[in-house]
Amino acid sequence: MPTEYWKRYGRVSVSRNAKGQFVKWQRAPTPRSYRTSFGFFGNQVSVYGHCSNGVGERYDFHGSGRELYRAIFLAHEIVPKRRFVRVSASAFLAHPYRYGERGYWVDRAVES
Amino acid sequence: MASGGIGLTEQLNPEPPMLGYTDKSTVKLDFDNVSFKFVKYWALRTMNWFKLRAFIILKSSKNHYHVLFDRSVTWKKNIHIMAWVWIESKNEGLGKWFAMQCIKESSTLRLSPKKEKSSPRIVFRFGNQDNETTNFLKYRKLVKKA
Repeated sequence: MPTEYWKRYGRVSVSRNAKGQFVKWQRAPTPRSYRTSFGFFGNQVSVYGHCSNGVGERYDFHGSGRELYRAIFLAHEIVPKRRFVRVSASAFLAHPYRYGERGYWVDRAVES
Repeated sequence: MASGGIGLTEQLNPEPPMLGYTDKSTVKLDFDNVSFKFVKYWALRTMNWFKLRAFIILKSSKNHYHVLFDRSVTWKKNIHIMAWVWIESKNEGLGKWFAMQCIKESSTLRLSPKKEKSSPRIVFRFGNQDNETTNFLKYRKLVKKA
């Protein structure tokens, strides 16, 4: 629906018929840039263990099934740079070396 | 060369990482060195006390069990429940696990195999599971495929 600016309601989505007559309106969704994000708190898949760099400990991935599946595989070779890395699977797939570095996971007990 | 306190023996033993399910809204518990009867008792008692509707018990290895409740709660309430069970049951393993979850600010249960331990399997179900348990099983399926 095309958006218009109404003095009373701000940005609204308005639908009109072929003649241009008003049909219905609803509030326009808030643009993504206006939202304040405090991180992701939904369901995640954790990839954890001790790393060869001695720093990283876990990735917490969220996203779609396909992205998670790929991210888990990639995380086998790219270990986290920091102790806890909470990142979306798509962001990790796009820029893996922003969040991790090349290494391997080490055989050592770690608390889940 | 690797740095940061990893010994030579460990450098020679690379291992695939473990996979787990993490969130803030599901009440999870990790009991170590206890019997199934003990776990079932505390799961039922916790469910009734906090009105958590339903739960599943997973056996991760011999005398090691995970409990997952069906009702979603806030993180604040989640910590409250985990701490209550730890204090009341006096289980040392649960306390150690609980401390780690507080550091991470989200709770995790293992889904993949770990050394000689196989991946946790469901050994007991109670109540109608259609909320958080469904989510957990969905992610478990995904991780098992990976």
